Amino acid sequence: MRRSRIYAMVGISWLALTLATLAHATWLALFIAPTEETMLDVQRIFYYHVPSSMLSLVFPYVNLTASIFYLAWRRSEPLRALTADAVAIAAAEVTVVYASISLTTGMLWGRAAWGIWWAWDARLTSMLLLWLLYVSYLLLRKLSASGQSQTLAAALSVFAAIDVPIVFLSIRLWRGQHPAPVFGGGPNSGINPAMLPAFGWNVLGWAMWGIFLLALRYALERRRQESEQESALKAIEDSLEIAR
Amino acid sequence: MNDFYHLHRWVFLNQNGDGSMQAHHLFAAYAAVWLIQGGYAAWIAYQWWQAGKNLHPDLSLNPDTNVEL
Repeated sequence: MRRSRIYAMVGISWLALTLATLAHATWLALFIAPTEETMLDVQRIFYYHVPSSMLSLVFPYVNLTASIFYLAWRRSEPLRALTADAVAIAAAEVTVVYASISLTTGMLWGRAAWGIWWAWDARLTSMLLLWLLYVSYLLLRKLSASGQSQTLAAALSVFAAIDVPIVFLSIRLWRGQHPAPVFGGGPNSGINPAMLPAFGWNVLGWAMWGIFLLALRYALERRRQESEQESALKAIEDSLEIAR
Repeated sequence: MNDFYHLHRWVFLNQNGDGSMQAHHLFAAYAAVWLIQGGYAAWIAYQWWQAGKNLHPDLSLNPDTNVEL
């Protein structure tokens, strides 16, 4: 069996499993999890907001690792460096998707719970900065015409990743509008145990979805690289024909 | 919330038939997540398909070995 067909079958099976997991997780979040006492039903945004926010702090490290490998291999092993570069751009785009969701759902929740769409507190501002950093990473790759855009973007990703621990620690170090940490935030933190299954299934489902997006975007980038290499080879062959 | 019927009523029909801000924002948040994620996945799948159309335009591969015929 062709390798591409095996990849397609694995991808479709993974997607089916992911969608089933997300359907179950959404049903738990909307219909089974108990209603929170103060915020009432709008608190159910939590089950989508928190997993997306968590994942928006995980994919930058995939981007960082791939970028470091790209920088290390770009001269000695250019073909392997291209593979690392494809992983890096895929992870950066998935980061922007999850950070966009974190900001959007956070604002919708904030307006209903606090009466305001936005507050310039440490968590919200550092998350907005994270989003801007990875959008600028993608813009750099899209618009740079220097021929060094992959190297420049890899260097930028090292600096962008510095914002990730700042986002994570922001609600632990500074008090602001955003609530204190739900998990690992001290003796008064934590949620009702009856809410944990809905939360856990949503973390699992959105993580599986993120892995699916990462693999799909990686496959697209590899196709583009292959197409560019073919075009370059064809141009060389054509120029040799003319020289003869 | 018990089922989809009650969810629909809660989002769109309570409080004099126009729903509440709580209900609208919960609905908008869930819809936004699926729109962003679904839209992005569809866009990549389309780009992937487009990129595949121009690949190997003049190559014939053996389907078993992937080697050029």
